[in-house]
Amino acid sequence: MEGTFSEFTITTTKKRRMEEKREFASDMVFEILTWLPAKSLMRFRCVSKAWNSLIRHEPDFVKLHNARFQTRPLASRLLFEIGTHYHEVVESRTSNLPTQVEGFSLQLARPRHYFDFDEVTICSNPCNGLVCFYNHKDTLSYLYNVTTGEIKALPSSLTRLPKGRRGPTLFLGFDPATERYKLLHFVFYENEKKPMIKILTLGTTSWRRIQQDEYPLPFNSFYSCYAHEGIFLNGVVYWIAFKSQFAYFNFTEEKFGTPSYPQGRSRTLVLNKMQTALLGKLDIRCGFRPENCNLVYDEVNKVFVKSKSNPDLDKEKVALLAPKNVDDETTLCGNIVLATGSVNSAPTSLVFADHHFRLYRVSSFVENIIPLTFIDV
Amino acid sequence: MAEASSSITEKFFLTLKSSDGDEFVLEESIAIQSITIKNMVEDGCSSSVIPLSKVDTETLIKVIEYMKMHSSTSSNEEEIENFDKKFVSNSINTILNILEAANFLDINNLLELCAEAVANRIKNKTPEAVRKIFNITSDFTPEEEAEIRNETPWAFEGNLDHSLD
Repeated sequence: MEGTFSEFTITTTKKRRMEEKREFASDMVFEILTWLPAKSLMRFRCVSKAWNSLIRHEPDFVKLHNARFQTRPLASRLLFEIGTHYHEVVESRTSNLPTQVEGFSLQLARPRHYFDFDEVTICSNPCNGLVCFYNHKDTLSYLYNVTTGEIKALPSSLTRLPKGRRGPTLFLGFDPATERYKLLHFVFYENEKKPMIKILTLGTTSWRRIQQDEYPLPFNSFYSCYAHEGIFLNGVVYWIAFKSQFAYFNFTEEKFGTPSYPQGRSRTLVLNKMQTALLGKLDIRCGFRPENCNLVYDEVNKVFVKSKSNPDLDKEKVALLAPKNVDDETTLCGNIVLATGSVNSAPTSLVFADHHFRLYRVSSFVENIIPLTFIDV
Repeated sequence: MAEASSSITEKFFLTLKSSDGDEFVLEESIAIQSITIKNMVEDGCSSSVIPLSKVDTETLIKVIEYMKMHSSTSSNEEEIENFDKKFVSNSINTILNILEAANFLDINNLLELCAEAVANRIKNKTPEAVRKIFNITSDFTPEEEAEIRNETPWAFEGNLDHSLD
């Protein structure tokens, strides 16, 4: 090829390309958008109808996006459930480790323009950044995605509840084997000692019964067991019931169990919420003896083992949450509010500068754009 | 043929021809990072020149640079990392051209590198800037667009970037 000719071709091609419209193949747009954080994606929904439907309605896209973000440290966030109007300091520190006090910024997460937060309570454990709400006014339960702010009503069959109850007792879980979300529901009837236990795979229409005999603890333990106390980790939800009794439910096998733990004299079982969220493993304190401190659950062998010292966690980093962190609006309601924070700057414990707040629970999740229409009910 | 190319003593060469008509001679072991080219070699269509009608000269030079760096046994991880960093500092338009080529040539690493780079460059941009970069005309009515914006007003908060690069 002669030099001058090829140069000529390059210039004309370039010129032509600048004039013509670049029409990107949708598979390349797909590829690019899987690397974008949720905030950008929610903004780019209004680029065009094609982009909007890719981001909101394409299961393969959501799946790949989710897979990519699981491995990105910046996408991991902590989800805090903070109670307001509480007049006691509850989150006590557990050790005499060197302390480093820092500020910790929180971002408030709430369903926007949807309903009055006063009428809503959290009625399930969080799972992958999703959580269930119960609305006392319309007596419906809702599924809420913390990342996108999307909210969706759950089937009304959940809401036939005895009067005066605080909402359904729901455990929300993800079954990694079938990649489906499931709801475990305890239904309490007046004059009946045992609750009915049923399970719903989101996306299907019928509840399935689970035999009451399967439940490993005495049923009176339920009265102090609220689902929002449950911790979901890797396909299993764990909770501590009445008198420090410990139970779990495996969403793949759909079976209950009780993890065995070394029983301290006091039988007091405390969940180290912050460490559990940071480690991604169940971390408990069993009794107040120092030798029983910081036991970590080995999921494979189903036993608690002493946690290996983690240099990051050994240095206790306490964050002060001043009222200004949680905005004025929320202090008006007496409920639990949701807030998220970055894992990178995460403290090992939280201290509230103002006694109006209490940390109910903290969990970790990976930013996700799961549209709730996928988990159609 | 593919088997022979793995032998140390004998090297095979391929000729790639860009859409502008320029020809580039490249070692086969380097070129087959492209699955498209690899398939052609395995099908025995590589004896003559391989025409790449969708890749212009400017882009092909960059793609070859990338393939050489990523196949060379002498380049260490740090070198590759630095190369990649510099590689994606090209203009968005150049990266988009390379992305298209990587898609056509089926070079997965390069495709992911470019896609992630474009994502990083556009993540703080306004929808208007993104439309211009991708040459998209909005097909929403103003009402439809307002409705979407209203669903997630927080996504439009903060300092957004209006620039096109």
